[in-house]
Amino acid sequence: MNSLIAVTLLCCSSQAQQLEAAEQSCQTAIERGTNFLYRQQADNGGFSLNTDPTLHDVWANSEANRSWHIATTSIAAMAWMAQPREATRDSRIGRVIDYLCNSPLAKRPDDWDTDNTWAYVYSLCALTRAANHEYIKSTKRSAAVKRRAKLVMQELYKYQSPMGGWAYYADETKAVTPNWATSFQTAVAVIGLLEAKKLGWAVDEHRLQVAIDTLIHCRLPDGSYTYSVEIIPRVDVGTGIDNVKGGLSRIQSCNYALFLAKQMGYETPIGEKQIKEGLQHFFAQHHYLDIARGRPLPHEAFHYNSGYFYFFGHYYAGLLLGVLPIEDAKSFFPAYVDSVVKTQHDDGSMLDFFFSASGKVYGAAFGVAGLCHARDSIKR
Amino acid sequence: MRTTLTLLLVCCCQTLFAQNDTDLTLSDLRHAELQMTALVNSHSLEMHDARNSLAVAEYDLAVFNSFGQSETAKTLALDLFLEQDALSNAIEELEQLKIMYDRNNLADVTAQMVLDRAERSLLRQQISVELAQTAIAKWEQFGMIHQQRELNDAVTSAKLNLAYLEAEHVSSRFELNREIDDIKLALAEIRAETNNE
Repeated sequence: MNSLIAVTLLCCSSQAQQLEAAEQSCQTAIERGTNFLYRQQADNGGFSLNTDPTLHDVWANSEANRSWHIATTSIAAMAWMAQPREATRDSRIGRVIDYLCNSPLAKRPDDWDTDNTWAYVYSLCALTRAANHEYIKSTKRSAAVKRRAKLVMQELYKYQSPMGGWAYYADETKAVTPNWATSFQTAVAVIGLLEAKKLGWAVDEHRLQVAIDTLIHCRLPDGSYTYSVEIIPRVDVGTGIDNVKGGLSRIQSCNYALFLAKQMGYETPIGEKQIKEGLQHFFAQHHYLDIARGRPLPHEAFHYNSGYFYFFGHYYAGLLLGVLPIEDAKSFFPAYVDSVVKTQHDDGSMLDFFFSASGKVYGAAFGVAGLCHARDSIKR
Repeated sequence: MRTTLTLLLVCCCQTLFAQNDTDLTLSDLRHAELQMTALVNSHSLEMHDARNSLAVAEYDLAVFNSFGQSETAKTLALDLFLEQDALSNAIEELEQLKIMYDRNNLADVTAQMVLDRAERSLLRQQISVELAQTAIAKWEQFGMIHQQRELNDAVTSAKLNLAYLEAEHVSSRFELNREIDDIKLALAEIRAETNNE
């Protein structure tokens, strides 16, 4: 009996130590990542990502680069706003929000290329967070934030496919409104629109409802989501992408969007149970993301995983930890922290894909933001 | 004296001319015998090819009669099946797409454009089904008969070619043998004349 108690105490103590070590590691990575992001902020408040994109980027189109630049700047802003208030950070947040409110709206880069939608969805997410941020409210920026968000939503609506969601290419039809839509970009748009609605901003309710229904339509029986919005969704067998192993990151973003929708009164199939299952998949099959991270070609890894799935998925996984009961969050926390911290470079940056000049910045921004939400999830 | 010398010179010249004729005729004989060897070899090569062609033609005909004919018919039936399937899929997908667009009710030009394209694709698929159907009819009415005839012709042609080659070889060998005999006769005559002189 005594030995049983001793073993139990030892296990508890070991888990506590593991958690403590993870917390420490998480904190250090957040600080290093944040400092890296500070160093990247330009005088205009944005990030000097595409000063000369044609020289070193695969995508020479300047508007495509500007779209990613705005999206990356938005994610970096979210990473800072996810942290406790501090004078230096507040000032930087003010500047980055000013930049997002005042820079020209991203235009469609090409007839086939609608990467401007990435600028819309992430700037909308950043603006909704900013609207709740005390420093932004105290510095009378709220009206500008709301005005800009309204403009962004109007642009976003123009790109909602008749399939119900959003995507970043239109080569299928080359029409003004694209027909192609993906689950994961739709999820980001839904999160932005729901946050906007929560703030009391005017949101096109029909479009939002359609987007939520589209995400539900993409959900597969194995708990994953199809990559594209398909007419008839089905689980891919073999090495396909439309299954758990090819959709680890999509599961997190779509689950988060649908959980948020449910909390706001929409009918969705995502509750704590589904979120927990999604996170269990994420960590059980995490090697598929590890194999893909850093690979130079999109979708070249098993199950068509791309390097850039990595931090995208981790960011939403971090947010999801916050909606689970604290004990569940704690059980995932050490593995989560390890999976992000191990990617951090000496300069504090993080990189999952050599795509454009923005790679290190969006990696660090997603990584830091995810770690912040994960840390908060065990400190409730 | 002068007469004697003249006779001696004539005699020597005759001997030399006779020797030259013998050498030339011997050379002709050797050439003709070599030609015979080459002819025999080339005949055996031609016969080998001709027999092979006949075997291939007979094999093709046998394959066609045993299962080629029925498998072509099955393949064409399968092609029709696949085209009909693709048509059914296109019809179902178009219906689903309409349901999806209607449900989303985000009426815009793109939706109509995609629907129009799907309708046009469906029309193309209907033509593909018709073509697959006529391919079966064409096979039964013309293709099968034509192929059967072609294969039969190939066998007959190979047999005729073999028979022709056999006759032609006998004839060409006979001619060459006769040439050799003539040369041998000429040689014998030259030698006999030389001995008489």
